[in-house]
Amino acid sequence: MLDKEKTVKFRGFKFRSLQYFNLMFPLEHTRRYRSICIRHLDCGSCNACELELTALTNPIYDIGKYGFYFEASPRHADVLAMTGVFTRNLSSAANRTLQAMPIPRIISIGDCAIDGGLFKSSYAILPPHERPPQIQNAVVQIVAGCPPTPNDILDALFKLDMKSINK
Amino acid sequence: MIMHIDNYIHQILTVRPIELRRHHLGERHYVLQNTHDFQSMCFWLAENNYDLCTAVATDERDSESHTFKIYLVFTGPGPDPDTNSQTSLSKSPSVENWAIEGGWIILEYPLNDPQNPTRYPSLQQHYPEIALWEKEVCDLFGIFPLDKSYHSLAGSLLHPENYTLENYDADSFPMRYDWKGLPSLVKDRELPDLPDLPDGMLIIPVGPIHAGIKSADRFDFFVAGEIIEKIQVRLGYKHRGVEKLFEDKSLKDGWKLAERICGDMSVAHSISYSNSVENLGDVEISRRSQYWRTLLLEMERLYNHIADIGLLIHDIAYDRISTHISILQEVAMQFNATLTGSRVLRGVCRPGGVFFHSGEPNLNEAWNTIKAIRDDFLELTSHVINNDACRDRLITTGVLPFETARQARGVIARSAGRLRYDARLQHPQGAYCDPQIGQMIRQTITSNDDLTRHTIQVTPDILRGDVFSRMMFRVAEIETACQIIEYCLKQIDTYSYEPLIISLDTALSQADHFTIGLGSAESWRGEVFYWLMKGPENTIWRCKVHDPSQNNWLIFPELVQRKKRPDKEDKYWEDVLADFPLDNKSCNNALAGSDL
Repeated sequence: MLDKEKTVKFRGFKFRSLQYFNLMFPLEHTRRYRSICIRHLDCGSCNACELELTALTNPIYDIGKYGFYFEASPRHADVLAMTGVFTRNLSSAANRTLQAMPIPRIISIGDCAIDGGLFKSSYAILPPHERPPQIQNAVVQIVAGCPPTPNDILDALFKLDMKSINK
Repeated sequence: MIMHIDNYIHQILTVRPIELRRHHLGERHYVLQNTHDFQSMCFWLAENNYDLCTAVATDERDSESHTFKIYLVFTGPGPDPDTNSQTSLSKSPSVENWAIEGGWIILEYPLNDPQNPTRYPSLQQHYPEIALWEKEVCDLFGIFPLDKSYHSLAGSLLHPENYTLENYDADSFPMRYDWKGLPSLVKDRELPDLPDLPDGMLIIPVGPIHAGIKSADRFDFFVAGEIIEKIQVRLGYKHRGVEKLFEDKSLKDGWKLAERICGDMSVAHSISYSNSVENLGDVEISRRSQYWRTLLLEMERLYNHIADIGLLIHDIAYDRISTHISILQEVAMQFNATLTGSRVLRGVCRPGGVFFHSGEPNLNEAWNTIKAIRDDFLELTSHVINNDACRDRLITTGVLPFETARQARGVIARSAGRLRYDARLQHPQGAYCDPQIGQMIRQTITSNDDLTRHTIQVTPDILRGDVFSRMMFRVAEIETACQIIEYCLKQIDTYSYEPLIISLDTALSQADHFTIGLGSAESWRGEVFYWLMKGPENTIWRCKVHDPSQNNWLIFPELVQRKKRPDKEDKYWEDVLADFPLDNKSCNNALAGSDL
């Protein structure tokens, strides 16, 4: 998803049709009433979704200015960003991470986290209907794509409505 | 004098092997019948500097041979250590010369001993890099070497969290042809008994879930004060059963799965897969698509090396530079998107050539963007290279000794002095056969007195095997990548009349069932190798993916641990626990790539 073509001058060189300033989102959509703490959980992904998540922290997309931040401990987390097919070997670790959260909420990032992607019929993964029920019920938002672009992920994060989810 | 295998094959073996000569030059396929032949052959190959590319296990009990089989693929010949050509690169003894082109040798060994139908002779003493493969094959097929027990190898891939084997189902081997069930679900972890440690030593477990945006692997640090004495690595959390998924897919469509095995090496995996399919059908694609493939591979190398160095500098806590480098990475990825429509260059490289959804892109402004990225990047890293505090942290941390580097692949091996582990020079495929590109690759390191056309010169003295040498090698590779991209952009224009993609259906349907195809590509981590066996009606019967991280994870503990210095007596290379992120990031081994 690219903007219309424009020429941007950066350190003396002209970049054409490259998006240096991310002005895709109008300011009303980005207004939050509180900041949101994200914990990333890798459940067997191919690392492309993680490339896009680390790209969110660079100065062009800069999720910090919207109030999102990545955190190490699940006990502080509002939202769990899950990437990857749900492998059998990581299921117990994922269960414990979800139990450690105060209110379990999951964003599934990527085609793999939603339904297994290309690995649907593999013996080593748990498809969505076989995952533990606490994980199935905690999914709040999904982001499709292989991998989804950072703008897609930001789109989904802005649409998180914390008031209606918070019980 | 380079020894060739044809001259010596009759002198080594007792039973004459069945030779199936392939029509490509330099490729040989031998079928061995007994254990003595197998071991003497491997001994001879190891003595003459042949390198092991992959090892494959197949279940052919359903077909005419009624056995399991093992295929080993070797590449060679390597440079002869007795010649004087070594001194032309450097005067130090711990830097090898660049590779000379050689072919592939396949050894086929059926496990036809009726008393031991699931045992094979072990290769560990000649090729220690096979250790991870033995564990993998033990879990997936149930076959294991003659000098090891089943319990010493089992459980590492399918059940990494079960320390006891009580609830382990010994009959469920997923890759066998008659397997029908599912392995039992992993139970919650049972902690083992702690080993007896000397006073002052601690164990720090860092579990599969890490702080930050990272993959899942488990480390147990044995720490004395702050110095890491020993480290144990436990892998297998990201096992997705990729090799089983490849079976019964059509040869034309397998690249979609190949790309998604490892996300940041998409282009390398798809090129390697396409090369193996074309090798199977004995088809040569047009030169224009070959140069396109090389261009995309070098672009992937560029953005990944930039990202790597940026995150390494972030781990030193020099964020002023690393945020700028992350901007350059973003610019490179958006440039990928303008060319191919995908930020990680997916969906382009296929068997038969190269395919663009929205037509072939315009390459007029491409070189300006890449030149701008390169100039900015070199200026930013020169701040780090000339900074004394950064050099103090990076030099002599995470040293890989020259002897162990023989088991490693890719940048890690090359920056420790073993320059011959480069698949672009050992068995060049596609546009890498062009001698100009080969010359550019050999000029990443300056020779004794010849300066290269690089801005930052990397001399052989820097290749000590530590974090700084890996970083400098990546900087040098970024410069060669830009040179190769410039060359490919011109060549694509000259061959503008050739087709971008050709159809492989007729060529593939002429090949028999059980034909083998080999394909390789040099990714930014190392050599990705695909071994394909054809099934009926243009499907895949067995596909083996070899990722360079399978070799690099084996030597990773030795890189981190406290070890003796060979040059100075009673001195050690020691790493503090705070240096571990630097070691981990400079190696950057993939977990998803090798299905671990």
